[in-house]
Amino acid sequence: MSSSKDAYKKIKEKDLKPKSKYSFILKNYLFWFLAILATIIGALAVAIIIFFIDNQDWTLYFQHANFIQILYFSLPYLWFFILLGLIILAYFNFKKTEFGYRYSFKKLVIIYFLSSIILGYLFYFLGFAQILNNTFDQKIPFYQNLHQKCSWFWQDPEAGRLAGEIIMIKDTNMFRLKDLENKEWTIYDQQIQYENKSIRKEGMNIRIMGKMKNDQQFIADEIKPFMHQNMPHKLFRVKQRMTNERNN
Amino acid sequence: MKIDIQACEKLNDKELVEKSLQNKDYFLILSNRFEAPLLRYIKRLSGLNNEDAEDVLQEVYIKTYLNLSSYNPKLKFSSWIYRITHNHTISELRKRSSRPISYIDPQDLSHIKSSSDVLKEANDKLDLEQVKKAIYSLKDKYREVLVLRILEEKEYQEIADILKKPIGTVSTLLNRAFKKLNEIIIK
Repeated sequence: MSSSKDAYKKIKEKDLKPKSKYSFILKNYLFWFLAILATIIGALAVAIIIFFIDNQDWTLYFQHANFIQILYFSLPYLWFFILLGLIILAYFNFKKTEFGYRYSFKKLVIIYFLSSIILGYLFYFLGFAQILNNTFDQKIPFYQNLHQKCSWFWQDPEAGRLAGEIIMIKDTNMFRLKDLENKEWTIYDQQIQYENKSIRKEGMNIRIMGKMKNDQQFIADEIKPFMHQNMPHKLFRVKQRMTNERNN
Repeated sequence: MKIDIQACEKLNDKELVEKSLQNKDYFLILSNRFEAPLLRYIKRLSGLNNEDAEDVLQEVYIKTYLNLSSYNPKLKFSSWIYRITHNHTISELRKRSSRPISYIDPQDLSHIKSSSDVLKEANDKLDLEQVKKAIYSLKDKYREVLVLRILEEKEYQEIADILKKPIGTVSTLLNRAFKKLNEIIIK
């Protein structure tokens, strides 16, 4: 007897039936879902990377630090690793979909990379990166430390750079600041035209450029939020600027 | 229900799959179509004797039947059933932890001779024993594509679908396999 007849006999005897179509469809959709999910999270990682890069004082860095130092403290390596992991995850899940094997590794990685960048830029533009970053800052205890490698750069009052938390608003001309080494300062900010007044309040983390008057007082020339924490999104800042211009 | 075998011959593989899902008798017609080529493929891939190859094929058919509803008509049915056969044969070889033994028919030699420009140089010197030895001394990945291309005469896309590899990878593997085969034969 031939193999086909033997197999047919067994199928009949044991009353075998084909497995449900839906279990295969479900499995295929699951891999698609995981691949898409990994791409979306990857895009969010790209959005946060853009957010970090966009919020660095590159001109200042290049004036005061060497290239290796800049590379070390300015780039969010954690997010680069997360992005890499997600690209690999998306790749393997896509490969497991029904016709995923037809695409080469190179082609898939390029497609994922490009879609993550495009989608990531969109997420960044819509303000998701900022919301996520602020949430991680507040909810994950070690998160801030991972991204504040630039602290040493901002903890240099003699060179005119200082960062820390506003602990008390004294009046319209001055406030008290606790720097990154927990030392308290009186900051004079009367000459500053704030682009956004909301950063001048207690509890805000800021960075200041200016001059050290003595070892307890600092005259500010420019004040920015530290990593733009709790700042309104760019779109709102543009809107606010336009409103201010109109009112003036 | 009795089925009309003559009428079934006019049906293509995809139509037979549809009917097999409703009535298992059609599956016998479908599996019968692939009996000879698949048995030959199992032997070429593994070098198993006829009896063992038939056992493997029987298991392949049962596996095919159980997974029949996962078959996507966008794919050639022959590619799909070759894929199942390939995977099952390889896993069977692993279970037996044996290396494939050479199995090439004398008539396969003409296929081999006309298969590639790369082999032109070695063509005059080719004899069956040499070719057997050469093909089966290659790494599995090269042997698998060569068997499918030269002996099974599959198109690149079909090989890609059977082995679940991108077509570019298949093309590269084939080029390298021909070069290696040529080197071995010329030596």
